[in-house]
Amino acid sequence: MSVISKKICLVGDFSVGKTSLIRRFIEDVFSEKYLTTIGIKVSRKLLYLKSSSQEIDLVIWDIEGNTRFKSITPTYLKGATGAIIVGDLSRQETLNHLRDHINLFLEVNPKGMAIVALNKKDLIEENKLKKLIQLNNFQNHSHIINTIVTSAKDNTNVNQAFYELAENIISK
Amino acid sequence: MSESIDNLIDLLLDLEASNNINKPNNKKQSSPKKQQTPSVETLANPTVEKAAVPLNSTETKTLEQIESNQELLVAKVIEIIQDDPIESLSSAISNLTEEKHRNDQDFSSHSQKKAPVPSTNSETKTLEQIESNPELLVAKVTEIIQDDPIKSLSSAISNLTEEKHRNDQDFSSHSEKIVLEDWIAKKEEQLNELAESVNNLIPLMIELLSVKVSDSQELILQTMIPVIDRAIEERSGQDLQKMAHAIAKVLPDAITQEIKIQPQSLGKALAPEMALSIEEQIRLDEDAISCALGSEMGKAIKAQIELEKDAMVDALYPVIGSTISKYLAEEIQRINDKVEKTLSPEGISRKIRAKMQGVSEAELILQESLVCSVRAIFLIHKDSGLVIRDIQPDQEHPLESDMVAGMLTAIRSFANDCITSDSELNEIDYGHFQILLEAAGYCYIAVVVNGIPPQQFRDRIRETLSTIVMKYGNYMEEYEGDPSTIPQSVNLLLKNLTIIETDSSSDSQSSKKSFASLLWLVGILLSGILIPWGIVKYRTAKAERITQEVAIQLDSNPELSVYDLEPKVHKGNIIVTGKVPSDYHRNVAQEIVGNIATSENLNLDNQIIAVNVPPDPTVTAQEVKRATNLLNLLKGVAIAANYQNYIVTITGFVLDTTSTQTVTTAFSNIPGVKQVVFTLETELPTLDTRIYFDSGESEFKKIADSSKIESIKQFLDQYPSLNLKVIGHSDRQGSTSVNQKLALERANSVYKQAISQGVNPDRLEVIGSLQLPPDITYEQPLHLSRCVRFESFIP
Repeated sequence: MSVISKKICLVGDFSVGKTSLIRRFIEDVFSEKYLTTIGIKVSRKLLYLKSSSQEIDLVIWDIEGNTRFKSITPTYLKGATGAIIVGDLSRQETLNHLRDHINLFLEVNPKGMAIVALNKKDLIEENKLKKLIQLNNFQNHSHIINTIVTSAKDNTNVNQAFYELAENIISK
Repeated sequence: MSESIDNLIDLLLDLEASNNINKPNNKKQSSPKKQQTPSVETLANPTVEKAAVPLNSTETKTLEQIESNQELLVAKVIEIIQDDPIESLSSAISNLTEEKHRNDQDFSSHSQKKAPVPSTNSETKTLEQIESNPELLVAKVTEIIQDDPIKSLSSAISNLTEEKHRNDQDFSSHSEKIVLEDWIAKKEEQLNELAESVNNLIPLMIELLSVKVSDSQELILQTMIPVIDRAIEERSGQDLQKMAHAIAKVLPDAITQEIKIQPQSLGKALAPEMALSIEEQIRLDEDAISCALGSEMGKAIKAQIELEKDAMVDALYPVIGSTISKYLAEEIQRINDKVEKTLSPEGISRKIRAKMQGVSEAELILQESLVCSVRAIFLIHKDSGLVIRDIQPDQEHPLESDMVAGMLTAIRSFANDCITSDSELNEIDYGHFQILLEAAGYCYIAVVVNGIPPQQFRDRIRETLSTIVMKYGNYMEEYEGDPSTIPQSVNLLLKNLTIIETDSSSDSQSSKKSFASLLWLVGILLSGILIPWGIVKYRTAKAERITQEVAIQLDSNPELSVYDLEPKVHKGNIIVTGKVPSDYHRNVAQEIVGNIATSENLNLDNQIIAVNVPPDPTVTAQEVKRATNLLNLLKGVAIAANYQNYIVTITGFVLDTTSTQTVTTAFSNIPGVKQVVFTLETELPTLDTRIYFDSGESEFKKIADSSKIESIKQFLDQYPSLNLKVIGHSDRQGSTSVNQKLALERANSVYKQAISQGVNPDRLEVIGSLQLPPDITYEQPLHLSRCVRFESFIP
């Protein structure tokens, strides 16, 4: 079976850890340094999905996070089959914007599927975490596959998030 | 005790000496390490001085004995050194050196005297004591050390030194008294025992020495200074490894310290050897230096450029210069080839292309010269940036197609969003690479080209894309990342693009093409020459024809035929040049040429100049004469003209008034005639003279009538333009025929008489008339009728 390529995007406010998640997923490294992504960075990783015994070439678009002054350019989202919508558990406003990002992504790609990644788990105490997860759960959303708590620093659930998205978009 | 120490020291020194002497010929006894020491070095060593001292047989014997224990001693010393190498070594060396120094002198003096070494009583006693009970001594020393080691040892050392000093003196004074053999025998014993006791003494010695060093550092220093260099040298000679080992540990610290104290000096010290050491290191490990320096080279160059750009430029110039010049030389060779083929079809077509594309020919040549190759071709899904197909001829260094495609898509999106929404990004240049982009509805082609591709390559990309879109458009639209959904034939289409056909490629197709284009070119060139040439020819012929026609027309006009007028046709104009005597003639010419010009659709440029040329008087005179003759042909005209000073004077008869007008015009029109003066008469003059005859007679009466002939003569002279009729008459008597005859005879007789008198017979006309003379009637007498009368007429 030939390798299928799929484009996925990482969407979220600036500094929520999109680039860190990708670096952890692809290179398995983490750096405390904050580097702003300007425009786009494209990366790729070849995954083997056991469930469907299919190889998938995941082309990952790291899209510049939106700020108060600049919104995400919708054209970058075009043609993406999936997205990871990233929020920073330590910054409430980034979580507030999750729904907007989901809507923007689905507006451009009505058939697209997304995973919500609540990142920077390492910065949050256990007791607070539960509450935050409850508050930001998109389980009932038809286009949201799952809401996953991640940490690029501790390497928590990073691979799971990407694999789950990959499995889902291949099975469709 | 002091003696025993002394002896020990002596022993050590002797041992050292003997070792040096015997080493070359006694390998068995040398330690393995010493075997390594080369013999030559040993001989060159300063210790050889001692070897020069002659030894007698007993001495040698003793020394041999010492040697037997030598290994043990050496081992011991080494052990000490290893225990606390630096301190013990330095202090031991200091003591040893000092002692040795002193003993060297003593020994040599002893030997010179050939006197056995004596010993004083006390010395002997002490020695005996030590010898008899070495354990006791050791125990004692140990005890002292344990009690108050430092103090007691220091005092002991001072004592020992003092004692030794004194003993030495005594020793020399008594030396002669004691037999050498005894001394040697004793020494032998002592040595044997000492060797054993040395073992126990060593730690003690070390302690002692160290205490001594700390107590009287200055003293030690003073004693050490003169010999320290020699000591080190000697030691190095013996065992380089050990020495190195000993110094090695402190060396880094020492250097650090030295750098701290005197940063410059170490640099100075090392400087001369730096180059050599680097060289050596390169020889040992080729990569090490480059590895170490490599990472910093970039920074170093950068810094140097910042500091002194020019120096860097100068340094690199020869390299870069030659590199570039090599590259340029190759390129220029190619360009040269192209230029040499300037007049080939290729060259001409290039010239035309240059004109058409509005670029310089040089640019085209350069473009053709630079080799251009396709690095990769991507067919990319427009929205997602996923690679539908990628063709990469160079399999060794393939490009990351997904990444490249993604980034290109992002750049395109960015350009579309931020710069202009309705136009496409066509080209990205980086260095000598170009990415040519050609977009359709759902996909686009990106071709990474090395070099500058020719214009037609872009057209080919366009064609390929349009073929793909036409045939497989729906596959492109529905592409979702699975390359197996795209037909394989797309690959073939894309693969065709990997070959860039330049004009220089000489396959048959292109040569055919170029032949055809050559034919075209020749055709164009020929038509370019022939058409203008034909036009020129036609125009020239036409001009010639018109010129000729004008010339004929001008010539056929009597008024103008005399004058030299030159017509010429040039650029739609008829130009007539020449000179005529008056504006009148100019206007005549203008009229004639003007008619032709209008019919031929040309403009008239009348350049005829009217000049008042004074006509030739002779010509005018001839003209006047001609006119006179012509006019005289008219009926009733008999004129004579005289031309002088542009004035024509006309005399004569013009009987008809209409003729008068003609005559006037005729003369005034003659060029050169300014004025015409007329003295014309409208009636002919009459000659009243009559010559009478007798009845029936026709004889001329000479006497009476000769004068009358004179009057005829006069009349004819007066009117040269007139002639005279000689008319004979008769009376009415007799028959008509007789009268007729008589009348004619009478006229002839006058005629003859006139001729005889010199009258021009041509001017006379003889007529016989039956009529009466005009003024005679029948009533008048008959004799009046018998006459000959004269009547003038215009001949």
